[in-house]
Amino acid sequence: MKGLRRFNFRVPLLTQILVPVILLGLVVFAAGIKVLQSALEKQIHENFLSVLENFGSELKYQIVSDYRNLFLQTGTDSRRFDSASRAEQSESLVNFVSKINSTKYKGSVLQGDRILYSNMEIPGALLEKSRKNKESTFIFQNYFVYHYHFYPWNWDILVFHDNESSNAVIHKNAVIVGGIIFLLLTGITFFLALILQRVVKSPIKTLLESLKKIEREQYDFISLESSREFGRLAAGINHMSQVIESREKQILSEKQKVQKIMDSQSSIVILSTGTEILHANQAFFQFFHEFSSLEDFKLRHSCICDFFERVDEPEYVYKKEQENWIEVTSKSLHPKKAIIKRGDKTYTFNVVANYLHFEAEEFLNVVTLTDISELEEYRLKLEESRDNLVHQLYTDSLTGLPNRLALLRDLENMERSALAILNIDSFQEINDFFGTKIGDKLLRDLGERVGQHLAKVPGAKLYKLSSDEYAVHFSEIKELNGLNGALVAVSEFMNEQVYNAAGNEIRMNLSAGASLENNAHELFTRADIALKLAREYNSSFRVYDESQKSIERYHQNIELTHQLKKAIEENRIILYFQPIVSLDNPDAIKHEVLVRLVAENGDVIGPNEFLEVAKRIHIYDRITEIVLTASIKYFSNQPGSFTINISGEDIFNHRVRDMIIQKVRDSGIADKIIFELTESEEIKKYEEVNEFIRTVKAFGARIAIDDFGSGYSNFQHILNLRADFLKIDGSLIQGILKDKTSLALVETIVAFAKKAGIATVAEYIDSQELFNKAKELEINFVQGFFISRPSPSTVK
Amino acid sequence: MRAFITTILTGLLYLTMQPVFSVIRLAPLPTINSQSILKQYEPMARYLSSAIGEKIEIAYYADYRQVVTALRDGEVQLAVLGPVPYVMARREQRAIIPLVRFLESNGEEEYTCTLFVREKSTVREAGLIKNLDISLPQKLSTCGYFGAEEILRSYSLSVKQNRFSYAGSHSNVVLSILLGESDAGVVKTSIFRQYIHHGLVPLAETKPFPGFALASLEHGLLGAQKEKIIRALTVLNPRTNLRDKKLMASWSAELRNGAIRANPEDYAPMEAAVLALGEIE
Repeated sequence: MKGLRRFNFRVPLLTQILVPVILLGLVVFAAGIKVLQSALEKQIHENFLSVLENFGSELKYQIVSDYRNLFLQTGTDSRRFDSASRAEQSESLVNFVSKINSTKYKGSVLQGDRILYSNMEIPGALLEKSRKNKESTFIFQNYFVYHYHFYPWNWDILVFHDNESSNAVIHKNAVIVGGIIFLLLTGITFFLALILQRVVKSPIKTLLESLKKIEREQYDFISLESSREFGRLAAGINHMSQVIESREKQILSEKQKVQKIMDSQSSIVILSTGTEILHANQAFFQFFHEFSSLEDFKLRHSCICDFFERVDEPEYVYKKEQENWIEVTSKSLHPKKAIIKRGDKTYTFNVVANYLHFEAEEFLNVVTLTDISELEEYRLKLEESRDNLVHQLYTDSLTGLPNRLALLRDLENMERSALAILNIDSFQEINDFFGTKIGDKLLRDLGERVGQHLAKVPGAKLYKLSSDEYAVHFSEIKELNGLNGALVAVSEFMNEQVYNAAGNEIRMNLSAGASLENNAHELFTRADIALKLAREYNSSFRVYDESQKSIERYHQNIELTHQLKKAIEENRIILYFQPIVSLDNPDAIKHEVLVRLVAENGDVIGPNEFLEVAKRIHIYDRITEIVLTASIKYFSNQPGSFTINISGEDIFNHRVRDMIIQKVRDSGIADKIIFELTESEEIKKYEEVNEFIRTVKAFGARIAIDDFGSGYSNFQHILNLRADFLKIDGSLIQGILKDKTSLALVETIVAFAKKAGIATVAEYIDSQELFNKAKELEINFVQGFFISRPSPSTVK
Repeated sequence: MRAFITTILTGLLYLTMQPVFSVIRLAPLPTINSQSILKQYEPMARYLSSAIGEKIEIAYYADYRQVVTALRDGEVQLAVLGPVPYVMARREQRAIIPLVRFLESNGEEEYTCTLFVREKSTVREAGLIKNLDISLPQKLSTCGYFGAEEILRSYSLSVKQNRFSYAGSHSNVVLSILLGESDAGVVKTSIFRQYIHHGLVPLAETKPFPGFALASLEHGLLGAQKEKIIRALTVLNPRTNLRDKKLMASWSAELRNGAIRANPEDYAPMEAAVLALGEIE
């Protein structure tokens, strides 16, 4: 409001406006006449020259036209042309004179320096200027001039018009236009001054008086009958004064509300600028009861943080130099804590600071201190009991040693290290003989003694596993030699130990299996295998090595061989079928026959898990026979054809090859059988493959080349094999959406197959996108999870 | 019997492979004025009809491209083309061949073009033709853009280095030079000589070019038909035979001076020159 006093507005009087405006108008008038005269002169000269040029052009065209006719008629005959040309010159001159004299213009015709005609005196300089161009129009002294040079007769044609008449027109027009502008300007200025006086000065005076009253906080209503703009301004000021009055009341009311809200909080709430407390609620004074008012508090303390105890943990705040605790708290993502001691009692507060930004540069911090002393106490108790529980979880209750879970936890982030599993030999007998109470005592004693011994071995830690088993993790041992040394030491130490069992001295022997590995699972499993071997071979300890790995696999294979033979005997080798759908004719469905083994527990096992073993133990041919026989039987009563996988081994094995040929011949459905042959180096080498293909094709069976495009793809070879189908390698098919090379390769294969009359099959179609792409590439058949997963029955 | 049937079938096959025309259609020089051109070509068409014993009709086209298309599509079987349009047409359709080429009024088989200026012109050498106004007869005239460029290229200059315009005819080119509207012009040398007494100065002349051609599609007419047409036109000699001169007096100016048998090789140097020229502007 103070700013209004500086604004001293005075409206100039009518005369104060009019006099300078009139003077300015006169100056503008004088200058305007000059400018106007120049513009008019340019325009009028251009008009005069244009009219003169038109007239001159008419004369020129007449002469040129006459000459053209003459030339076209007699141009090739020099004598006739010369004579006619002379006559034409005379006639053209007469025409020129006649035309000039019938107008206000003057004119001349010159041939070189010879004047053929002129009705005025021609200045030499004019001739010189005009002959620079073939045709031109220009102003020379007091004349507008048109010039044209006619080459054939060497004529210079000149037409003149004096410019006195144009000057008179220019002067007259300039005075008239200038006068009109002057009168208009004066009239407009006078009219504007009247409006200014009536419409602006008086309302502004009233408004200024009203604004002065608002300065004095007198919010009177302004009554102003004036123009629309000032009416609105007055209404605006009236509205403004009402708003200011109502805002002042509102602010007072809101201050009271804020105080009530603050007082209603059980927590301590203060409003602070960051360096100074502005307000505090009742809870503040209840806690700091020795202070009667905020001013009283401020007399002795600059900050509530004077009371905060120092705790050097990041979640606690206390008074620090060069650090504003409120700012730190407000920027923190989590609430801070503060400790305040009052008498014997220690209070823990949750401290929250919110930074409130008001208009312009005003801001406040709302700091809330909530007493969480009881909660803190409870939390500490909970943490303590949790720690106890965790300790129990990872500790063996009998020996107090870390248990199996603790070992697994400790091995989670292990590096290369060693583990030994120790087992007490014949502990069950000790237990049975002395009772479990003595047995438990012995277990504790043994744990204690081994623990003492291992305390000298760097990185060694003892664990108690189940019943009579212990484990030692050697985190510092990285080499087998070190492990062997440690195991020898433990073994010797144990052999020397004598225990007391109910007054009897007894010795306990240990067997140990150990392993040195990079990961926990193998470490544990292999140490266990080594322990089993140690016990099997009655040795005090054994360290796992690669020879034991083959033993491990051998055991597995023995088991699988046994299962495989039993499955064949019990007819648990079964067929699965996966449909192969034609994109040209969706009703024409073929099926690929796949083999599965049903385990004794009912699990269905895929061929990858047993075919390799079957090959090794030479029962692979038996599986081929089972699959072929069962397929022929099944499809004898089913529509559609089927594909069956055979290997090079099947063909090179005479017994199997003969069996296949015989089955095809006797099947009665040879035309339904398609043999899938994987293209490989060995197949390329032997004529036997071609021979086999020729034979089965003779019976009506067909040949598909599997996984084409993978490694040995050879278009020529495919032609030699006389294949009927090409099954494009699945890895290529899966790449056609993203990999340009795969796509290009598949396109090439499809184009080749089309030319060779071989149908194409896309495997591994497992999405709508792949299906659409295969269709777009004009592949003939598709197969994959998107169509159907393999199942024990065919699709009808 | 089998030999008889084979003979009949072979004969039928031969007939189906050969073009047979009840009417031979002739396309005159493409120009803007169709009426005058029809009038000038009709006498020659009548003569050819009676000489070969088949009806010949005139089919007018305004543009040489239309003539090429009509020849290719079999709509016309004969076309009179200027040398430049002939080689341009042949570049588009290699099967177009010349049957005869027409002679000049002086009986010459070939003609040249002359670059000239006014006697009082300050330009007195062809090597100075740069940034000037050049007047040319027509776009596809031999002495038009093609002839002018042939001359100026030999001076390492180009028509494009000047301002050029087409006057419409050779005599209009001469007139535009005399009136001072253009600084230099190119016209047929024989025409230039007719106007030399007006004070014109020759600056350069092209090498000789073959004249107008009567062209046909290679297999567009029967061999016998082509031979008859060639014979009918080459037998006329208006320079020595008055009866022929009288017969041909009403023919179009480019046709009335006689003709000789033509081969595609006659136009080969010109074809190479047009090819080197690129686009004619």
